[in-house]
Amino acid sequence: MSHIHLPDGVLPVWLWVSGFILAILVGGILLKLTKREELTRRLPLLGMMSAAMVLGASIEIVPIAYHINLTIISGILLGPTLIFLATFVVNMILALFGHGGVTVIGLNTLTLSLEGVLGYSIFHLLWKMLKRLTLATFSASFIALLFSTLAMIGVVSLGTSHYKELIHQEEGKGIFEFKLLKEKGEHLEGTGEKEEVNLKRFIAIVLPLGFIGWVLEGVITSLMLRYIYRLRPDLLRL
Amino acid sequence: MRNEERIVEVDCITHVYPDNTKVQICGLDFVVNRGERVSILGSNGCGKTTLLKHLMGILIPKEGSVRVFGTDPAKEYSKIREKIGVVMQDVDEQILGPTVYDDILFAPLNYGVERKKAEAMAKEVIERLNLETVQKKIVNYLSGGEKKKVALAGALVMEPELLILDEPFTGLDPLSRRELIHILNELNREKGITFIMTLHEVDLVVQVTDVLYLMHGHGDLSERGTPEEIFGRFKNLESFNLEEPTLTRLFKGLKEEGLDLGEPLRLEDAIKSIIKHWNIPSKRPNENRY
Amino acid sequence: MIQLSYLDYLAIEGKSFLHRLSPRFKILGMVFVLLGVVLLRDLRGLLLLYGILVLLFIFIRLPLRIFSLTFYPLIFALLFISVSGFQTHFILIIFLKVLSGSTGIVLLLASTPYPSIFSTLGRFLPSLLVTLLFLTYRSIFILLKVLEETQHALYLRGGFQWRHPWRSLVNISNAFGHLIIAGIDASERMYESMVLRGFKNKIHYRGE
Repeated sequence: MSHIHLPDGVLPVWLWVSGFILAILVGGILLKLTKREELTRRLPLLGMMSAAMVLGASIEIVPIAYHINLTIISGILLGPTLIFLATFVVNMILALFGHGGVTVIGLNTLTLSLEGVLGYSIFHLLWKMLKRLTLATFSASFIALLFSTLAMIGVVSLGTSHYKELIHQEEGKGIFEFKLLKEKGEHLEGTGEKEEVNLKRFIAIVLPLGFIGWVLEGVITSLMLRYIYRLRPDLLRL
Repeated sequence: MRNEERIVEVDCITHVYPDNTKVQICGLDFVVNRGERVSILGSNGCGKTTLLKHLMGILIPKEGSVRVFGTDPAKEYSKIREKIGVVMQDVDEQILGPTVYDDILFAPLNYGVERKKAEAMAKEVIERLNLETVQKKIVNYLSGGEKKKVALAGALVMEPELLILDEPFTGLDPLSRRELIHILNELNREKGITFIMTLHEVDLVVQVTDVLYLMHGHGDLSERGTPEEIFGRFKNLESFNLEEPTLTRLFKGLKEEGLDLGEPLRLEDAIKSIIKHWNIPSKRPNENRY
Repeated sequence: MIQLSYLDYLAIEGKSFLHRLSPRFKILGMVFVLLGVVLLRDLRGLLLLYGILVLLFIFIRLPLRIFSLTFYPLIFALLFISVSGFQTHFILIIFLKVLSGSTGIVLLLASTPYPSIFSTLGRFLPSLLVTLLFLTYRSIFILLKVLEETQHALYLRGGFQWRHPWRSLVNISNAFGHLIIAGIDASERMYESMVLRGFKNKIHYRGE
């Protein structure tokens, strides 16, 4: 898997709410910077590329739920501003059929659009330097996916105290997580290794699995871009 | 219903595509009078759709001029947009509303027509095109023929004066085709709507056309006339990569065998010609059932 | 992706009480499900929530193949439980949370046509976003046609075979490249239609 969509219910409330606020802020700023006519002109293209990303996310290439992630190619074709809007829509639609959570649309958008933006930027930088399409595409895909996975890990790590509470959950101590005020002197019982949050283990599993996905994705994205460049070089605006 | 008011004039236009392919639509001037049913026949890639896109203002000619309702559509399409209805070749990308009803309402609401009036306009066109049973359907699940009708409804709802259709009969079954021909002719007769359409189906031309243009090569508009005039010169048709109408080939074949029954283009005329030749009393002398 | 069109079909053709319920109530119900998913931490509460959702699934007679859609979030969950010492309690809580969320949302989509969902969301979201949602959903079906035809062509012409992995990968990549080009061309034609039909910035839905 080159990209994992966060589901509902795992992250603490403050984290996904912040994700929404940040996503809305970024989206709002980008919309303000984009001319209305330009946006209207590109709406069908946005819709189509978002649709392509949704389709890519739904087709398994390898039966461990690995699917093609068209975010980087979409980033290259749409540019950094529009890719953000596209990933927001994609995450909304994917959330509708259980492919990623509703509450975490903001966070998923931020990590997914990071892929698109980085993919676009690194691709163009490498193309200027090397003038080698395959190398530029593969490298851009690999690096973009690496960073977006790190971002996802970073997001997950922000909720460590929340996971600690869930791990230390005791029967009958209340059914809800949400506490407005922490009780004085409250501390978490149990300090055994088993009851501590072990992010290292999580990272140790995600990164190697992700690595396979990044390589595969890099290869596929390079092949796709090579095809597009052969038939419609004008689309890449190189 | 025709008069001599010119609503479309195209004077030798040149267009260059992004891949540097040049198309020059020249030869005869392309002229359409109000109320005419104009068809453009030509082989694939000869420039028919390019011509239509210039009329819609989607393409800008590098040279030459295009006037629709006296306006340059590339520069001022918004002035004439409500007078023109368009049905594209591939209607999938033209149908934008979630349901059939929403799609038909799309243009009126865009143009600021009051909701109640827009709904009345939609209702009228739904009834005319027999779309009552599908009006609540989500467009993704319509058949090809239904989609064509919905696209036509969307084009007609604003009661245009000019209807532009790009290969409207492609992909339709015989019944749907007949239905569409009937609707188009009725609209022309009752409302005086002018048609410009491109098509491949030579056999349909005579049923939907007052003026026929032949295009070949890369935009060479070389023939203009009624279908009878043009198909009467049928020895020229092969050079346009076109086949003669079936009836023309039949009666030509009969003529070569020594049986000259004329050159009818319409089925009813062919039947009359045969009946007359053999003095067969017609069972339905006055009915034009064909 | 066949699942999306099948979900859509179920939403339109279904006749259960949930299908007949107003989209507003269903979305409100989904909000409560999400509240339960994020706030509940008691196993019994989560079991109850998930149980109700599964029962609803069975009651409105949704096909089993749709139920498999709800398992997708388990991929992340399986990775995520590694942050703990694999305690049963923690694993169950996480699994129940993610499954409840996905089951609720799949129930919503399988019982409510998407125009109704987007139109209801349109009361809270900017109209540009809702328009984009409509356009995207429409585009999915347009591209799906292209994708299915390409898939069939690949299959019939031996384009995808496990014993030729590299060739297959090239073919799949080219197929997606073709999809993207077809999509971009289609989007141009779509834009032309929108302009010809006076599009300003909104796609209207009657909201039935």
